[in-house]
Amino acid sequence: MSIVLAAEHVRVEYGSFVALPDFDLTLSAGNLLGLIGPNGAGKTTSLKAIAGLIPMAAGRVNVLGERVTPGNTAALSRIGFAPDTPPSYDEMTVEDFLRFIGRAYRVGREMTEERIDYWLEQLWLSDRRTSKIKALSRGMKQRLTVARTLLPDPALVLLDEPAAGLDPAGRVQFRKMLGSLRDSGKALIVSSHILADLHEYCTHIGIMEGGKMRQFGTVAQIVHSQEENRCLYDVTLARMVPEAHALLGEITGLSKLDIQGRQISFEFEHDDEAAAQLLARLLAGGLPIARFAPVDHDLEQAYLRTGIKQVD
Amino acid sequence: MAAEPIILNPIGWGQFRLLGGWKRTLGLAGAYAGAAFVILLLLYRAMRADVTLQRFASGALFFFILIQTAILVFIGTNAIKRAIQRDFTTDMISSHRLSAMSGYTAALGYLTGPTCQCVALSFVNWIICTILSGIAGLTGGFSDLVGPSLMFVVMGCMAIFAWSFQTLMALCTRGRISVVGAFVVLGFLSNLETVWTLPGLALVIPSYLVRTLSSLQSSTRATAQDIPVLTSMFAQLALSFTFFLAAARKYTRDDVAAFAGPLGYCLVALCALLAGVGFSRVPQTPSFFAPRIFYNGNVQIVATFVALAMISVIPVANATRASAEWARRKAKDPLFDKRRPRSFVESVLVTVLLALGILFLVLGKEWRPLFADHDDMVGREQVAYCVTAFVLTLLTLGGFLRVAYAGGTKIGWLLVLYVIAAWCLPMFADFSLDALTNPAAITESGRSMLFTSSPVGLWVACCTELEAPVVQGLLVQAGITVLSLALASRTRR
Ligand SMILES: Nc1ncnc2c1ncn2[C@@H]1O[C@H](COP(=O)(O)OP(=O)(O)OP(=O)(O)O)[C@@H](O)[C@H]1O
Ligand SMILES: [Mg+2]
Repeated sequence: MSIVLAAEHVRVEYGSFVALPDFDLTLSAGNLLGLIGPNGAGKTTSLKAIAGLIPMAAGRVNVLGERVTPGNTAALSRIGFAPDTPPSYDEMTVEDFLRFIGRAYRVGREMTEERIDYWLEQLWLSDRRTSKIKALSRGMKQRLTVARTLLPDPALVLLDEPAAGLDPAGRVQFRKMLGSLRDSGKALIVSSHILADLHEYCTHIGIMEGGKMRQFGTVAQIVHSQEENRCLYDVTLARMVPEAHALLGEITGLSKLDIQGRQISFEFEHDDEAAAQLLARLLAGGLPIARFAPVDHDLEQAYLRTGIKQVD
Repeated sequence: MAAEPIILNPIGWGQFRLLGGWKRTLGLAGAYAGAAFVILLLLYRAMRADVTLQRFASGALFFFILIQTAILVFIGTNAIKRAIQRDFTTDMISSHRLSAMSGYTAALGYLTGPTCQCVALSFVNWIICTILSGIAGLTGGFSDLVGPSLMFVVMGCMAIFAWSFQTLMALCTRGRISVVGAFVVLGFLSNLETVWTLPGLALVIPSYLVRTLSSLQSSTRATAQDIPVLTSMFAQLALSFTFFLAAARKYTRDDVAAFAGPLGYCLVALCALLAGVGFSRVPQTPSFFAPRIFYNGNVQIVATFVALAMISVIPVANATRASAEWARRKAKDPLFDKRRPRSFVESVLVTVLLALGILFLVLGKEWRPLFADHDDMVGREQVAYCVTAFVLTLLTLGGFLRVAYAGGTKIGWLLVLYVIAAWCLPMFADFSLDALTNPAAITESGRSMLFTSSPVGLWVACCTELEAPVVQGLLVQAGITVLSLALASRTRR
């Protein structure tokens, strides 16, 4: 697979504050990296540095073998970057804005019109074609930004919290679109706070904190990273039982026990046989179990396991 | 440089759409033409009893040329400033930077897009003025100059100059600074003719425009030689081109220096050329507003030194910045393999060679009368002292800038501080001391060493008849330079 993005030793400073001390990342065609981490972790900063929009104190970024430097359009024009606050000309209509983008990328008039049709269709904006951008809702603006980013057919796509303003149906649609972009051989980085569905379309996950990549790997690696054969269990009781704590506390191999009224969660072996035995033992102990479920592939758990505090 | 037709320029097209496109532009031009016609008609009917049609037309012509200047300078530059400011506040500038547009395309877009309505109005004005001058019967000889077409070409050059300067300044300040203020002040100064103190500047500011207009109103006619139109247009276009190249570079990212490398030297060389040419090409006739002192060659050469020194700061500052950045990067970046940039001392020498070399080359034999006769110095000595002070002040500044850049300080305030502390304060202190201790003799007595320890004071002492200890002043300056260079060499970052 061809390498699309190679970032080495990237260092970004804001005055005396070091936002990214030493950031390395390599992505190949067909990779989709989900970038997660608390507010202020440096997700936006690393995306901007990769896109060459902010100066780096050290390091280098190559896109398709071209060095990303100010004014090097050969590299820059292959990067599609959708910032978290979408830039646009509010006074323009949707189609004029996209035409402007087509011109700026020398797409050619007919091709531009074709792609405008395609992306407006894909992003459910066709009926807003002639609206002024200022009349769009937040989610629509976000979709327009995605359309703007994808219209020039970039090789590397950077999306900074693209799903934040989308409605539920839009999110489903968006996931499918990301999947097909990934399969079409683009390299993508998506930063997101919505972890629930990331594992469905990401090939890789990066967990950032304090400017450093705390964990990086394929989805499977991350989800099972720390304790291979353990997973989280969710148990719901029919009614509150005071002795539940004592009973669960006795069981060997059970950890991180948390009881909130009728809701119980803990970590235990990730193994069907072990789960069946555990359930039998709890029932025998007289717990009125209404629901008992091991939680598979939970990115959220993997994330919380890293011990990163949510707000700095 | 992409040779795209202007209409295909993406930013130009985008700005044109944002201003309402063809419909709005043509509508505006039509409405303006209609309003102008109606107003002219009504005014003429009201004044018919008192003035002849010819007189009325020439008055109206004057008025429309004023309007035209205002449209180009005020509305045009303001439109460019607003367009660039909007791109920064909405962050569309990042969107542009990631596109396939080169800096040249973008800069050209900012020059042509936001100003399209100005151009449309100018076209209407040109038609109106052509008709008016036909009625006024202005033809032949010198009045060709005020014949509308040439006048519009002249104003077009001025507009290109103002617009490219605005584009550059707006890109340097994220759209915060407007150059209209500077143009108003300079226009005012040129009206007062004080601007002739700096002959090079007078070339760039078309103050001859004002003279021409007033000669249209009165019967006194300037001679064509008084008005270096072509030289002035060349000066404006050459500077505009430099600004355009700088803007194209500055566009690519905020931290990129606009005049880095050769372009900074080109700017200095061009300014030196204009400064030199200014001496022979601008008129030397004093007037009420501009008494003899402004036309005094001794004063003019001092002003020229000061101005050239200020412009020379640009390449020197860029060289110090490059060396500071190189050192910082080298310390932090394991992959960094660029060669160490040349020392800023070298850039000082190149800059001085360009600035003063070209100035004196252009002046030729004309340099002698610019330096007043002194008892204790011959002409060549005076020049040598002036040049030494020029080198020393740039070296000193370079050293301080090197320290400032290493500390990551913003240098704007440092430059202001330096000019106040090293250039103005010693002269002011010298005058104040004299005024306190010996008020009676303040006008007759020569100045002290304090005065010449400022480079400006030294230039004044060398070029005018004022007596002051030049060599001692130079020694003080050299002392400060050594201090500054020592500080800079201790800076490891
Ligand atoms: N322009 C700036 N000047 C100074 N510090 C900045 C600037 N931009 C970001 N920072 C700092 O850099 C760090 C990383 O910020 P960044 O925006 O990359 O975080 P993020 O991971 O995108 O956070 P969020 O999830 O809130 O979007 C933060 O500590 C932030 O305060
Ligand atoms: Mg962010």
